[in-house]
Amino acid sequence: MSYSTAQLRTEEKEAKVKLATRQFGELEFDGSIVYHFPNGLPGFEELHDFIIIDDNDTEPLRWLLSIEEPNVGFAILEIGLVVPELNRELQAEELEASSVFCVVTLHRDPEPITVNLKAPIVINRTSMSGKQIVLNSDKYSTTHKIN
Amino acid sequence: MLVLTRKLGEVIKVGDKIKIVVVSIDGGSVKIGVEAPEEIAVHREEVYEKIAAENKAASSQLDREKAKSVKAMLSKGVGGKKNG
Repeated sequence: MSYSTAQLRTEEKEAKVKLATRQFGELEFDGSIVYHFPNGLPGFEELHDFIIIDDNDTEPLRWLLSIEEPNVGFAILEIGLVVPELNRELQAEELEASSVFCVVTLHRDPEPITVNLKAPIVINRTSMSGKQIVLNSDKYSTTHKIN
Repeated sequence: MLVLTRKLGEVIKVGDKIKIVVVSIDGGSVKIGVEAPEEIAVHREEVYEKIAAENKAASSQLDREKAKSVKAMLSKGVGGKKNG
């Protein structure tokens, strides 16, 4: 039995990636949804490939998960849900941004949940890339309380 | 470490794509301009370390139960207060 080239190409394109994770169990996803972070993230410079998981139980909070090290992940929120004017500012500055997120720290109880507004994560859906930028302004804190 | 003496406005070149300029000198502070390709990230070291520490804290606490409370917090419409 032989396959045509076209069929082979289709199979490659739809190749699923399987990932065993501690937090989300076994995940299976299309390779095309992976975001590439050329510089990694501060503290995780060696990790470059991440997926964003929509989670019905925790929405609007999503998860940014490393596919190279699936035990490394971050809770993220669209920054516009926390500080709408910062989102508008960043969308104007970062022309290639499709979405801007902030990293959420779900501190151990009874510590409150905080978000990092000083270092937003900028996602580009066209190039499927991402980066964590650091804002110059002292107006925004790395531990901004949301409650 | 390579140590070079520069006057105001003088430049140091690192490779052929990075330029470091002394922009101004005021008492104990030196304002430095860095020109580098976009793929090279330039950071104040202590700020970078702070972000790295916050990322480590965030990634070590992926508590889905606690995460469920975020929606209610945001729907209260409270923008939040600064902490520290």
